[in-house]
Amino acid sequence: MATAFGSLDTCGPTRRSFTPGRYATKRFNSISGAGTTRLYGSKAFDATLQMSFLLNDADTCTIMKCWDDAYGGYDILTLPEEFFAGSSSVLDCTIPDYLNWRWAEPPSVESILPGRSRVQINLVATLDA
Amino acid sequence: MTVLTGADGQLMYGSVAFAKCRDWSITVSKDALEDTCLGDFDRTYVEGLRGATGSATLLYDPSNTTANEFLNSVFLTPGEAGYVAPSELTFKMNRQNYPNAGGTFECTGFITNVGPSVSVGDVQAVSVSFQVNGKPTGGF
Repeated sequence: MATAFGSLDTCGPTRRSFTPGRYATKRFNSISGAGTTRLYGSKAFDATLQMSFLLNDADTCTIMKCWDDAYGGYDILTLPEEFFAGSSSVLDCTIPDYLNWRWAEPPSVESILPGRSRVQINLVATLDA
Repeated sequence: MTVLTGADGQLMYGSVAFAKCRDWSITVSKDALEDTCLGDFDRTYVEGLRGATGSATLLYDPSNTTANEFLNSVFLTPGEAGYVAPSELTFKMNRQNYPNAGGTFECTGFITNVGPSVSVGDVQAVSVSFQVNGKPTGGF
């Protein structure tokens, strides 16, 4: 089961930062300094996605509700198209299909004036067995 | 078309007008919060907080107790004897309400800057800066 974000009024994030996942490798060094690197999996994992939004109260509530609906980092998330606004389909290659998005941290809400909050969310793309 | 001049202006402290005000200005500004989304090609904004500051130049008259009380408020701190807060200022562009009412801005606040200056061959003047506290009322 996946938890979907509710419908947002915003056109998208004001800032987005994506870091691709890393591969399961380990380096074994000998006393001489020579070593070898082993690869334990062919799939990258733990990609991260950090986004900032300037949201009205309804959208802020939607974000917070998603955190609760997903039981924090437990459930898989379905991300809306708005999260990737401004990113052409060419860049879709940077996010593998086999990863599942989850909350990496609780959303952070900074209230800046009545009815407006700056919300920051951090997601992690996990490789599930 | 009616054009007003400096003679139509007035600066009041409480209910008393400053008799010797050389000039005044008030600036009301509003923050612009950018909410441009990724994918947009033009910046968009939402309205933020409003704020206002004012300034004036008063000619110094040692016998003018009202003006001096206003100027001396910068030396007093809340709770101190003689402290009166907040100061209420009314900036009038059209003190005679001619041809229609308007051009009056009322606000409360406190002095943030007092700068007396003395020079040869000129009257003694005190420049004052004023921070508006809360919402200014009135309008054009």
